[in-house]
Amino acid sequence: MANIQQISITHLSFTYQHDTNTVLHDINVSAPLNSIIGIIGNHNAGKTTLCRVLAGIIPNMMGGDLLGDVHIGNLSPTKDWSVLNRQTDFVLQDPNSQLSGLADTVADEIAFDLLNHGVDETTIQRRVADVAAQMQLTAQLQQSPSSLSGGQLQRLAIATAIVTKPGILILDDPTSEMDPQGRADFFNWLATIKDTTIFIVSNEIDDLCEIADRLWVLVDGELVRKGTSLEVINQLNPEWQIGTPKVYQLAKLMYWSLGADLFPVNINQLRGCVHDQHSN
Amino acid sequence: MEIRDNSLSNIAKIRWYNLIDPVTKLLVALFLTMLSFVFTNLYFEVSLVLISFVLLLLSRLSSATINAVYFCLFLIVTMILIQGLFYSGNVHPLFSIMNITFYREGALYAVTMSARILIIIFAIGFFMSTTTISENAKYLEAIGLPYKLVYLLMSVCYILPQIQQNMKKIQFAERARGINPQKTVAQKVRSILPILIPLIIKTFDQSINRSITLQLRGFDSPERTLATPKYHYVRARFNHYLLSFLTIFLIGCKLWQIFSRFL
Repeated sequence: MANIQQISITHLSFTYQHDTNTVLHDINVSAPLNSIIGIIGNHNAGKTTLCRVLAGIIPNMMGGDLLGDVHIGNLSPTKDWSVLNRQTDFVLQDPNSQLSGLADTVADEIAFDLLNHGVDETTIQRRVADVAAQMQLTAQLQQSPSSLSGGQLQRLAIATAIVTKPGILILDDPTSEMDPQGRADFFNWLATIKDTTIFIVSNEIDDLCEIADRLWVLVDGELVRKGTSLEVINQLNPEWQIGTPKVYQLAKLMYWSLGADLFPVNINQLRGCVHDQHSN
Repeated sequence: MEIRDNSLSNIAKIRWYNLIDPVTKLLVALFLTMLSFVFTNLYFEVSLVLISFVLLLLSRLSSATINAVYFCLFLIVTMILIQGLFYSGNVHPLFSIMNITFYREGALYAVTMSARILIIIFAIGFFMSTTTISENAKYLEAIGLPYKLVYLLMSVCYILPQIQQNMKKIQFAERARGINPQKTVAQKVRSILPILIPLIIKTFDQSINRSITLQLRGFDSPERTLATPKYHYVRARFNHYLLSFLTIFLIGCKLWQIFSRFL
């Protein structure tokens, strides 16, 4: 029986249809609900495929050989997809694919999900305005989505996902086209979200270590490390060629250790560490 | 201020063609085309070309329409040349250049055909330049078309612009890297050939992604409320009935013209 407070993945393996390579190999992991889970790894590590499984795209919309079991709370993306889909939103890697194509303006694009969920017009107006303000798209509300820049398109894609206030948010590299300020604003905003389970694939390891409660490291479809960002980053194998946060690199150079050969991976840990060093 | 208020007062610059619904525009295109096929008098054909051209000029000329017209003009010139020289019913010479005789019957036949092509291009151009894909989709769903059919139509509408957009990106990247200067037509064609298959695969891939997104975003949800069409169309139902009746009548006339030859 599934634990209603847990995300649990058991013996998950997946091979795409008409393909012989197994993309995900026997993944076993669990994490508490309402936490932020960062998924990291190099190209072709299986990050996007894992997101697709979590969102139920696999096997409901994409075929393949899926083994094992996935549960997010008491819902399974494979068995209870329609219920899960009402509580889940997904931001795709390519923001252009996220757009419905049925909206002439940014406001209509954001409202699309709400219309689909039968929300009344007054609530739609309010939520669209709120989300646009959060994603700094208020000035663009009456523009055509096709006139937006890459970073603005990504913010629009995120806005379309969060406007329904989903319980589960899956973000597949949502900041790849954003400028540094936009990226920082996005991660700051993400850290403020409560009561939502967030899976985020990103190469922004510094930002991930600031906000993620858990990190999962994928290498060639295998989950090679899982745990808090402090545990994971301190146990990275150099052969995996996964970047480390600047805070960690600096602390390692300066020998600012947290003890037990653990080096800080985010600003708060570094601050604590430096403070301890000065006290000593 | 209302963010998504579609009332007429809140939509900037309402044009006359915004008051005509997409189905009426399509029926007008069909009606003009059928007229040109039923009444083959050259003066009548030319007046239809002028009417459809004025319709296009009074709307919004898009670069796609202008490109289509340029391409058609090239086809028309070729057609007039070939028919003027080799049409099976050629009898009366129009003029001769270096022992090559150009005939009147062939030229007239080609001009009639060209007029029909221009009418179709102008009328469809009017529809395409004044109707967005989203406006079309919203209206079709509002008049009762199932959302799956609307989505299918929308996907088809998106394929060509998407291919064009992807091709522009690839060609721009090629030019930026100095791979192919693409100055002449031959160079442009040569640059397209090797990327054709990846281009089509990429476009289909994007279509699949869009379909996945729509499902994830609840497009097939039973609670779905229909999006209100952006404009308030004038006498849409009446126009549909009238134009449908006239078009069916013209199709009947054309069929009668064909079958009466055998009676």
